[in-house]
Amino acid sequence: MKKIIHLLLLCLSLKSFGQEKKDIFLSEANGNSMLYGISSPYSNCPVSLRIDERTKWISIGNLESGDPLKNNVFLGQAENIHLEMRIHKDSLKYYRYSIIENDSVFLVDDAVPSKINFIWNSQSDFPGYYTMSLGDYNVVGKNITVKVYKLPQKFKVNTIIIHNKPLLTPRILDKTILSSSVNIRGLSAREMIDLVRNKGRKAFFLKQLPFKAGDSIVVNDSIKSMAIRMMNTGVDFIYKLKITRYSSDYPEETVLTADNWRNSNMIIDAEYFKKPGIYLVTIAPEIYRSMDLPRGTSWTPPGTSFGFTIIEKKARLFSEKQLIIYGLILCAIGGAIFGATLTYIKKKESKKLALQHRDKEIAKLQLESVRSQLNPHFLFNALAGIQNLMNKNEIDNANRYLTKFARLTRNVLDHKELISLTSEKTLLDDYLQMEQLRFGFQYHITASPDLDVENIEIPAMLLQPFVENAVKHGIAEKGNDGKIEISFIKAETDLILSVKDNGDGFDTVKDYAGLGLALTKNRISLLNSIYKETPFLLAIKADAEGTLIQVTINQWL
Amino acid sequence: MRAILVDDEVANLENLKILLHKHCPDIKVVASASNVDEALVQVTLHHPDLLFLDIQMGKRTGFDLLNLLNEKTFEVVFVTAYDNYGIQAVKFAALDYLLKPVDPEELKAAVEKAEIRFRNKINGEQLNFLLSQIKKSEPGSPKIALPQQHEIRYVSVNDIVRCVADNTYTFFFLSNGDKILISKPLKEYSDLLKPQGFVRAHQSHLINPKFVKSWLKEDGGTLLMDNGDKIPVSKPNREMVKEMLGK
Repeated sequence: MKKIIHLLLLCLSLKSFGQEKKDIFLSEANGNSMLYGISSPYSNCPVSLRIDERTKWISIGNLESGDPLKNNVFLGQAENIHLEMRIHKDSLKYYRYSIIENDSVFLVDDAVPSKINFIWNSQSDFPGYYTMSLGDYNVVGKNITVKVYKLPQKFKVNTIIIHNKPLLTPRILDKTILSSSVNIRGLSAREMIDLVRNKGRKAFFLKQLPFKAGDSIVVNDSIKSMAIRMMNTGVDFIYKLKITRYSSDYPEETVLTADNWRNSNMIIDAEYFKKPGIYLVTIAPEIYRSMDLPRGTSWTPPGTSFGFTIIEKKARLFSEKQLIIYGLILCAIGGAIFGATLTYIKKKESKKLALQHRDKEIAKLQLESVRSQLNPHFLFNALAGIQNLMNKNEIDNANRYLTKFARLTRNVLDHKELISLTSEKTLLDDYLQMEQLRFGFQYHITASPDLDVENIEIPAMLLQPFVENAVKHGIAEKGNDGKIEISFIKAETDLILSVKDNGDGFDTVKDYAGLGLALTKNRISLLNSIYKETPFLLAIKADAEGTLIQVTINQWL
Repeated sequence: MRAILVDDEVANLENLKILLHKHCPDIKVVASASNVDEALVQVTLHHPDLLFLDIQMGKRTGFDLLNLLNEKTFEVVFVTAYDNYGIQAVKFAALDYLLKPVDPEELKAAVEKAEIRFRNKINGEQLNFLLSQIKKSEPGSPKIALPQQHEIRYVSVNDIVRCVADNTYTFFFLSNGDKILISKPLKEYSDLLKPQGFVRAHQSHLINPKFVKSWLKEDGGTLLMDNGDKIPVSKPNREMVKEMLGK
């Protein structure tokens, strides 16, 4: 009996000994070390990496186009790492390695691997090989660079950068439209003619026109490209720039995905954004994250976005180049044909008026295309909600919600420019009651008693995106405690429409990542180009108490 | 009331039948038909009181069926999937319609209204008006049915000077000086008459530009009508009104 207990104790101690031997780094289910090969596939120095269990995620292979022997590894909040290399025992003396912390401190400088981790015996897969340790390193808040080469090829240095600093949120420094133009400042008429005649295309240079998020840009032939400059992230090549176009002819279309940054600059050819529509530009890191670490839950890459609108102008009577040349000739002939100039100016004036009118028409069309975007996610979830009622045999409810669904869809398809506050309330009721099928929350829609809700009209689908945002980002997770308050308020001649939720709020300083808000900002700037006399103002206030969104329509009443 | 359902899709016929059975027990469905010819036979056979009539059925329409029937002793509730030109004509005739998928509440309301109309026997007249409007191929100004408590006025759109909202009611001012009160919101007529050239100058005013005499600058913008009435133009609409009058 004693013997058995003794044996048991021995087993236990053996087992605990085994566990102690197990280091802080991750292992496979069978007890073997979990190793990640992190050298470039073109490398002759196979470095492997082990990570600790604090690591949330790992992305192993991120080569750079410039250097085939360079690889980047991204780690999510690792604490310690272990590096090793499998080398034939006869070649040991030819290898040199360096470990550099944060690009500046040499932790190891051109050393020969000297610590043996493991000797592969003759029956193993790699007889005659040693696994050499390159050391354990604390990587909290650090980037570690590994450089390895094998003599005599001292010039073939393999570089592996292990990034454990959090990925930076891209910051856009400026965005400009580059359009070709002729510099005629300070030149006499004669010199201008000579310049264009002698230099031809070379007389044109690229003019930089900065623009802001939400701006409307009228495309013409002189626009060549768009330049976007962001703050250097150190790893620009993993930041994907994506341009999505929204329009009536094609509801959502990705027109460009690119990562060819040059010094944190990206030039986008005008071909990609020539068609009229609303464009959303997003920049976010895109790396393949290994899925063998279940601790990494859902991950939103730290991105930024902005939108702009492209308005197409009908071909002008003259191209820009022609205009310049004709203008120059006119100048040269001078006052001699003053009368002709006068008629020309008059014509231009009336054309300008016509163009203004057309701009407005275009803005209206644009608006229509933005409006007709009920989130497909909502649409199909709503249908699933109805399906659920059907399967539960709640026929009456299924009918009720189906009718609501039909009314919402019909409103989107109807392309009405304006709808009365009463109809807006009905639609928001329909929408929110559909969402209540999915999330338990409460809502109220109120109107100032002195508002003639039956007859006052507002642009259709103006509030819907905000309400959708309130549901999605505000209170979807709050369950029955979630609350949304929508109010139509009369303030003298202003109409204030507000959407308030008691969700967690969001950072108003940051660019709005949510597409809904980006589109709505665009929409409001479009509305302002149509209703010039009654500016629409958008105010967003968000804090821990929730989010308040107010659209004030000045002198609307 | 005894009803016949006409729709070219069987699923729609079944749906409507189930909803009527459930929500409108006074309606007895005596027959259903899935095309114009079938419907013609059923109607002449059964002499229904009420017809639920789909507008678009293949190449033919519910209107074709009505054209084939000389005597219209029944009420009609049109049923349509989408607001197309046909429903526009139905609205001009102030007839009743339902949109698919059918809302049980709206169905109940439509049946109640049909029962009242059936007692007063005024539907045949409206149906004939509807058919005459559809047949009219010349581009002249259409007529619109304005239902009042005891009668329906058929007014040429050309004779409407302006409409004024009064909450959910609308006042019509006609060129002969008549003033008619209709129990529908201005929004409905604004939707119907805007394509006819009418202008929503103000949240409570819809005007026919033909009767505008001039643009006054007082109060930022006012329209002077031929009969001397002054109509305010609200700020958001000013540019649009000026544009319309400039044309």
